[in-house]
Amino acid sequence: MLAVETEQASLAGALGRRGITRRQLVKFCSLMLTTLALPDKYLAATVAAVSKAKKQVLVWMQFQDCAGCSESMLRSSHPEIADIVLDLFSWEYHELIMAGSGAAANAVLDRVVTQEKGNYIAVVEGGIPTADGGVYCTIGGRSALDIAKTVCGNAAATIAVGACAADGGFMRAHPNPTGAVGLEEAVPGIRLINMNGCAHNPVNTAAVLVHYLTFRDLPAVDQHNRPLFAYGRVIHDQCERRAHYDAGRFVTEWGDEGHRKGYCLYKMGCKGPAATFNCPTAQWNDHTSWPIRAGHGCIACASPRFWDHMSPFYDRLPSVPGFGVEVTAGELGLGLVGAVVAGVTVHGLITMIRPAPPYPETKV
Amino acid sequence: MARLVIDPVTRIEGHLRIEAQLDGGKVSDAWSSGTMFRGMEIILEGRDPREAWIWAQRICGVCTVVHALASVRAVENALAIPIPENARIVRDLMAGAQMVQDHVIHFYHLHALDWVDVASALKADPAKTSAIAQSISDYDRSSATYFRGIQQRVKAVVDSGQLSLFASGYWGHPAYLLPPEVNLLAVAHYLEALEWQKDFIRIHALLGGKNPHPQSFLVGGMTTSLDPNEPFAVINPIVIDKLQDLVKSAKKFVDQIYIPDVLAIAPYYKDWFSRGEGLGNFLSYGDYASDNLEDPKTFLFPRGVVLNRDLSTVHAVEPAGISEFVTHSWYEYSGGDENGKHPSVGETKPKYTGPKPPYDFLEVDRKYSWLKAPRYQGKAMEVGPLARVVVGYASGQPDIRAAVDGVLTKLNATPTVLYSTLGRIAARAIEAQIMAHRLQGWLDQLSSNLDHGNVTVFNPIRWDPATWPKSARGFGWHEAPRGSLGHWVEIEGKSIKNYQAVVPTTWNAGPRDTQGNRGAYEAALAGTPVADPARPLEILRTVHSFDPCLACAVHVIDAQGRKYTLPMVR
Amino acid sequence: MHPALNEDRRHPEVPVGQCSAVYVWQYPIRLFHWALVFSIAVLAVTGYYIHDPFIIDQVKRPYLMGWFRFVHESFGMIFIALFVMRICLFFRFSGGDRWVRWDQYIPLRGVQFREMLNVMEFYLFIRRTPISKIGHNGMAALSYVAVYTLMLVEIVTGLVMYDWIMQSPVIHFLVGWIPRVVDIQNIRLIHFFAMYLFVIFGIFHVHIAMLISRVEKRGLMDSMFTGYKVIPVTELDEAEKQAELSRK
Repeated sequence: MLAVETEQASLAGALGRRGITRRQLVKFCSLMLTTLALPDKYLAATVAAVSKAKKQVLVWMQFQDCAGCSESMLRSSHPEIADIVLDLFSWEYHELIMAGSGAAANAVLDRVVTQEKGNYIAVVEGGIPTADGGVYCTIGGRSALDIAKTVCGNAAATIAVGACAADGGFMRAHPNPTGAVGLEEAVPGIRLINMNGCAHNPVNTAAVLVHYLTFRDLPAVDQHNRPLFAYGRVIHDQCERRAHYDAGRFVTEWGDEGHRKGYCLYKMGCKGPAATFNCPTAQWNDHTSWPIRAGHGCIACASPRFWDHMSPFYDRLPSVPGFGVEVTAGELGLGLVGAVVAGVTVHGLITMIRPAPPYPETKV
Repeated sequence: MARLVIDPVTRIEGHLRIEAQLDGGKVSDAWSSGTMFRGMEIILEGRDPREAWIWAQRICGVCTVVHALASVRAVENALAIPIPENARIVRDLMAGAQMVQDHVIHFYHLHALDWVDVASALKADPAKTSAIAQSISDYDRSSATYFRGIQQRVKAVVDSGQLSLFASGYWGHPAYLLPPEVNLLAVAHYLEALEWQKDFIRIHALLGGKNPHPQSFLVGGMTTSLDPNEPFAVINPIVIDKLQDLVKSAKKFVDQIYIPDVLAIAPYYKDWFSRGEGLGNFLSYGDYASDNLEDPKTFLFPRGVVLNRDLSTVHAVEPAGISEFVTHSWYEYSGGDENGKHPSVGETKPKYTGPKPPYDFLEVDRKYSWLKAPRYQGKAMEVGPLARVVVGYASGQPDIRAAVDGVLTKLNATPTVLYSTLGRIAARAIEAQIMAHRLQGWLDQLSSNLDHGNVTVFNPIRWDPATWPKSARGFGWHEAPRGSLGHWVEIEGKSIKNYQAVVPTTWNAGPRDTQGNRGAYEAALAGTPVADPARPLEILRTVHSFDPCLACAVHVIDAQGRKYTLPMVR
Repeated sequence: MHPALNEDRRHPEVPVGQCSAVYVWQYPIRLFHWALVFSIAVLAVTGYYIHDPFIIDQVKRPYLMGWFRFVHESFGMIFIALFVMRICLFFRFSGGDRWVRWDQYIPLRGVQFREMLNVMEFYLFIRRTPISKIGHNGMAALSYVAVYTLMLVEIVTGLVMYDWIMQSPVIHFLVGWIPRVVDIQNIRLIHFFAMYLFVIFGIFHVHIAMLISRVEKRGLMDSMFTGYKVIPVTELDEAEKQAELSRK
């Protein structure tokens, strides 16, 4: 009984100190549960978890990145980034927005790694170059790999946000000049979840963070270590243009009538059928839109190694190995068929003009 | 004499390291180093030039859009594809929105903490803050209750002992000069700006599906189909209405919060109107052609070069005058590292010769950065908002003239104060205001085209690679938020043979060249006082005033080191 | 007299008494053959449409892609059934289906390799006479093994893509691990490109069947309709002896 009262006091106190009302908090938690596809019965636990008096410590690392995933997080609406930074987490290290630089920043990271060892969450953005001793990305004179091993190795859990942290991203695309890899390969054996996407969708990442706060565990993942709630279904099957696909109504040229009417982008190289992501339902920037609604095909940015596997982005199929973008599979196939027809015709003609052999001659 | 190292420089995009020599409490020399390399251009070789923009856009997620734009322009230039008016408007809207949002984020979230002492805000009297706020702006959220709420929120964070991102700040540093009330005002607007920027950037979601990395560019136009009667067209009257609201919010934010805040903070830091002057050479490629695509003098940001702070002459930009040096960069040139190369005849072999990590100091008299050193006709140049404003002012661009004169009158200053750390901040704010208002014009034009049935947004003549010449070369320029951006492309067959980018932060943050001439950061840092080497706030102020973007800046040129003739330049 | 020995089908130099009509291809293998031909044709056409929807019909048929996919998937299932059936026939030792058994196809004996060499010599005009066998010669048999392998590739890649949308537990258990090894887009590429290999095989197959049929005059083409080939008695005796030997 006493424990419950204390818990309530702590909750009320925590809420009072924060700028958010309980109503806002419950609304936020409901949204997170919806994103996670979890039933309402977890609501009380979720609310309690995110309103703990001592906030969960979090560090956000940037390696071979473009800061797009940080920016994406800054576009988070549920919760507002201000709420995340000030209220839900103790967001201690994030080069893009943290106050101190140089020695002051490094001191924060050192303190978290030693004092919060095993208790903090590490979020990682960007790939990790492994070639040539890691000289392609250094921070404070240390290689990204070295830092990742220390920071992620001592974290309670690591969230790899974006394609680069998950699998090496575009740096890893052929010919991978810097030997870039994702976190899974760079620091094997850690408790890790991949939030693929270019950029990651902040709603999903927030949901994973809330899931961790509530259950002290990461959500269920697929074979690429991505959470099933976000990466379990094919985009094509959730697409708002799907009916047009089934009906055989396609955009055949950019800007044509079908394009204006919102027909299916399949013929324009859309990778929706090859991609699993909740992009059509979660959408972006406060549920405003998503790429297919903007009239461009999906590039499957949430799929593993999508830069190499899903390009060329304006063709339905990948390039045939050895032929690059110069020849498509269809052209190559037709070329082969043509060559065979020609060869067979010549062969047939030669056979016709030769005298028939005597009968029978079966000796081998 | 002491060597000061700042690595990581935070509140920037990417990985920047500053090494500075301190002498008598001042910076006597400084070295700027980019410490991350990815190799975008090597990776682009052999790929479909129509999709180059999707890749190139990933050069940077902060200045998203800009590389996509430069890339499609380069390929369109190579293949000689004129784009429809609507496509140009949508691109200008997206790039312009990017500029406004980026400048606001830079001022509040990347730069403000150099000037604003968050801890001091706790000592403020919210009523006084309210009075200040109401005296400088009509913005409606300015009551004492509102500021008290903000103060309590900050206090709760401080009391909890978990200071989040603010834990590592230099609070109480003697260089912070704002009174507590103004600090509180700025903290409130820090949070307001966080909220506004994510709302405003929905303009990219509406026109490009998402932000960061919107996805609606095409070589030859945009995917944003227009139709006044189709509910599923990307741009229809409903979307126009939404865009109108967002553009209004931009004008309101810049006019009522951003500009007043800059004007309120600047007078407390008058010393910084003469610190961080830098090179005095300014370059702008020019951009945003509303009427005359052919005449760069009529652009919203005119094209030109201003040398040695001489506003009386604006030199024309000769594209052939650009060259990049690797004398102090971790690359090697086949003809010897001492000669510069034009981006279209360039080459790159990454060759790291620096210390093996972990290291304490770089070998600054040898090679020390992943950035190259671009030079214009052999001179180091500053690019960015200040360069654009200076070139525009000198060219007599009416919008820029009026805005600059307005701000200078309010600050009771002459144009010479622009050549400074605070000058860069002022130029950025001026530019954001000009752009926020210009967005309205473009949007109205788009709306009018839609109403009149002018719905073409894509030019299909060269979509099919079969229509391409055997080989083609082109370049695309754009005035990105951080300055002059250029992409160069060579196409052979259906694929990219050579791709290269020379980006704003390479101009500004690049290392020394063969003659030992400093880059813009290095020059601007010379003479900066440093009160406390353990808390080098003053250095950060000047570096941040450039709005560094290192992910953009580190790039490479053709891996095979082939020779090309100069591109066709109009 | 069996119709296979009619005057017009027989080689003019062969007296009727010296050859016999042999029931080489029993109905299961003929059914397999023609069902396969039909399903490959349907799968190729519908599959190509799915790859590149060449009919854009916005009004008359409002579920066009849906139908193409339905037909493609249905015939895919038939295709799988045919593959299974063929594998069963490989191991069927009862009855007279000795020419469709696995040992006729997998080259393990020297004679099969010698046949291949001689067949290639014939095709390259080094040798004048074809290699006539009651069943398949070694080369033909090997080409069919290649086709069955190609079938397996199409089936597996097809099932991976089917699993991608259907998420059936059984199929997922069987092939769900594959996209982790080979990316789904490469699965698509393989599935699509293998179609051309079937077309190429089809062209060779028809050409050679016509060629050999015309040259050796043993009713090769007819046999895939009727099941009967015309075999000289001497050769039949030889084959019987061989069979006797192998039984011992």
